[in-house]
Amino acid sequence: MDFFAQIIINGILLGAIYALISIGLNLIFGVIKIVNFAHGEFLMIGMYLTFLLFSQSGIDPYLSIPIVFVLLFVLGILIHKIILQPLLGKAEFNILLTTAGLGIVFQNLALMFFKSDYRVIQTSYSAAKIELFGTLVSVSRLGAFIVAILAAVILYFVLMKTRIGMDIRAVSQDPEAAVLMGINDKKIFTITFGLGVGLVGIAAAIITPIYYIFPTVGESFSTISFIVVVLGGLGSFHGALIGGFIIGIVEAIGGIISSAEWARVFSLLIFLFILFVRPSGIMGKNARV
Amino acid sequence: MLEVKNLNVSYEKMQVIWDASFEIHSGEVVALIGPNGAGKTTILKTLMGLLTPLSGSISYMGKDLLAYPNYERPKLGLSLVPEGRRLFPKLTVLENLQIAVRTPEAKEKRKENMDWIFELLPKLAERKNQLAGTLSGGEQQMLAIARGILSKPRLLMLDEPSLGLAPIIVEQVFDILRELKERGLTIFLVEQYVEKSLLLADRAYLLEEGKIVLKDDSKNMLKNDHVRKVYLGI
Repeated sequence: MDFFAQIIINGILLGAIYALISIGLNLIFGVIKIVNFAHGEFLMIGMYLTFLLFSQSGIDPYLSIPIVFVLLFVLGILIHKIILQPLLGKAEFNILLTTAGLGIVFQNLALMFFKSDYRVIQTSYSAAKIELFGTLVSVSRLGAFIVAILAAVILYFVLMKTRIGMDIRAVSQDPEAAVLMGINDKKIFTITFGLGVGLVGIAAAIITPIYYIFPTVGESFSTISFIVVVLGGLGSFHGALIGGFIIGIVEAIGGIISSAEWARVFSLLIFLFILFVRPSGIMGKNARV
Repeated sequence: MLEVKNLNVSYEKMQVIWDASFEIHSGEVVALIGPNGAGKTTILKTLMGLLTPLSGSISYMGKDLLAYPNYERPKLGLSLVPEGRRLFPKLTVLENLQIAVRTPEAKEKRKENMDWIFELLPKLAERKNQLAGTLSGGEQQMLAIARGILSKPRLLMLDEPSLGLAPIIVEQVFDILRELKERGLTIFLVEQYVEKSLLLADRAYLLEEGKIVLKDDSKNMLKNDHVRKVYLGI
């Protein structure tokens, strides 16, 4: 029983991280209809920023959450304004290639500045564990879970209860009608891109105490977030949460009954199975934020 | 209030509006009639800035309207109830109304306008927390008009508000328009119900193949042979 609980708890903790990474990707897709192939690289940039803040200024990853969020929010806004905005409304394929290209550029810049070394940050709580429901849980994973859930709740509140959130939802559903209401759709697109990238910055800060940091660290997370988003339903906020938890739990179970490498195979199998049953994802079919 | 001169508009390379000139005075109801594909929607979209004209000028309350970006135009008092309603289906009825309230004037009048709309359309009041996408077609059209009014426009434009509605609902739509007219709102109406529109409007323009071929008082328009034969079927 304890063993089973351990797996499920690990899966849920992991799932929340996946969900938070995916929500940013999904928000950008749901509103701007851009598939952001550089998403994993924004995560990587966030992790290096957290690393730098920790190693140069001694700022704890949890304290660097707001800093990394703001820095990536601004980075997202600049990238969107300068590079992506001019391409909107033209051939969709160009934007796809551009975001993929940006990812490669970011990876190589990271390689240039940080070399291909694996970095790790050692915090006082890195190895700490606490007991939860009779199982031992890593403190940094529990912390990551709490922050991820909090961030998702705050985002949900902003989207559902604030004026800017209502504008974002309106633009997501019908940008032209939103313009008729006096909403500057371009501005909303830019803010949304910044928000999506900022959210992945939060994810980056909280996983830095858990994972190694290296220039291509974004790739595996990128793959996972694409799976999560498609699994949950493109553009659906709830879908990304549910998808995150499913993949997290499947990977935790898969990792126990076989090895960590095979865990990914299990999640891909579940992914294929769910797509077979529900081609538009769990919360799919026109689901939007 | 609105003066359009020598407007030319094209989609890509196909020109659809040729040298159109018309004006709307404050307090008037002006109808724009014409067959499908004549370019009526194109004219409305150009006024709202969803399309950029090739040439021509649009002066609105003494301002050069073309100098304003599209999202600023609703704040100047222009409001379009678009063809096909274009509600936000996953926003609630109330949110669909609130989203149009942006200027200080609109905010000030918001409660008054809301109360008036809910009194006029009690069904909307009952369903104000429902998602707009779950309303019936008639209710959606009412909501679209209500949304158009809540921005407190000086000029309300409607693109085929009766399209696809049951005759009894069409009556209701025209009742609302009559009520708005009595309240002194300036209205620019694009409609397929030519007779009803002409009975409501003060003046009308006839648009055929992208050209304004006729302009007159509605009364005279109703007597015009061409209009009677082609649009009224008499």
